Amino acid sequence: MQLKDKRLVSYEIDSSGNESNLFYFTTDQDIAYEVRFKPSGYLFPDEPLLEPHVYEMVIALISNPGGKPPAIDPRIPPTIAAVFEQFMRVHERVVVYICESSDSRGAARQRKFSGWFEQYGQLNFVKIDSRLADTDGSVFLTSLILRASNPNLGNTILAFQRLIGAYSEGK
Amino acid sequence: MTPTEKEMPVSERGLTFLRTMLANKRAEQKKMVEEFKNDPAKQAIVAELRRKNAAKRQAASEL
Repeated sequence: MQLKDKRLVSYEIDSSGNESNLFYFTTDQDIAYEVRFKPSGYLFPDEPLLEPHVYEMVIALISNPGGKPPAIDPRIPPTIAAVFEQFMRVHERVVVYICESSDSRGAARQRKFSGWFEQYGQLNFVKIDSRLADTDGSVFLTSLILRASNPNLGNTILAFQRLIGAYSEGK
Repeated sequence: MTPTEKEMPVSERGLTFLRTMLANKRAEQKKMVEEFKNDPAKQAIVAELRRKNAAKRQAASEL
């Protein structure tokens, strides 16, 4: 019962800095993370209406005083979900996330990232995943996330599919 | 002459976006770590979060 409760409780989030697109949380291991939503209109240069609302999400471990590798932490998925809830209060916002794929753990990272969505975000958000291979064999794992209530939902998904399709057409 | 993005075949254009995104993400993560090291305001935010977490753990252990 205690474990189940713990899974549902997110860590406290701080977004009190000067910039509304920065969020911080620390874990029971005292590891500190920053979640940054970086304006990235360049991803959709042909879609001027979407450009101002597109962000890339970057999560960085910024402090680990214990030096130990981070353990699997069931409180991180609900924390990421809570960050999304806050950031996506502006319903037009669109987030693109790309998983690091230079090692064999890329797919595991995307599954981990998807965990929060399946568990906590399905009702409010739409997520489109793509998996594309580079010519050198490495794989790009990307996700597009937006609110189900986003007024540009259809156009945004089409624009993302065009971006991805533009690549796969040539394969 | 290097072709501009618009002139590239569509497949190359998509691939360029993805490579750029991944490179940007790696650079941003490094920047975030460096900024934290050099920003007392951010360090104070993290210290306060750690303090609150520790207080909550302490309170939970006393239940």
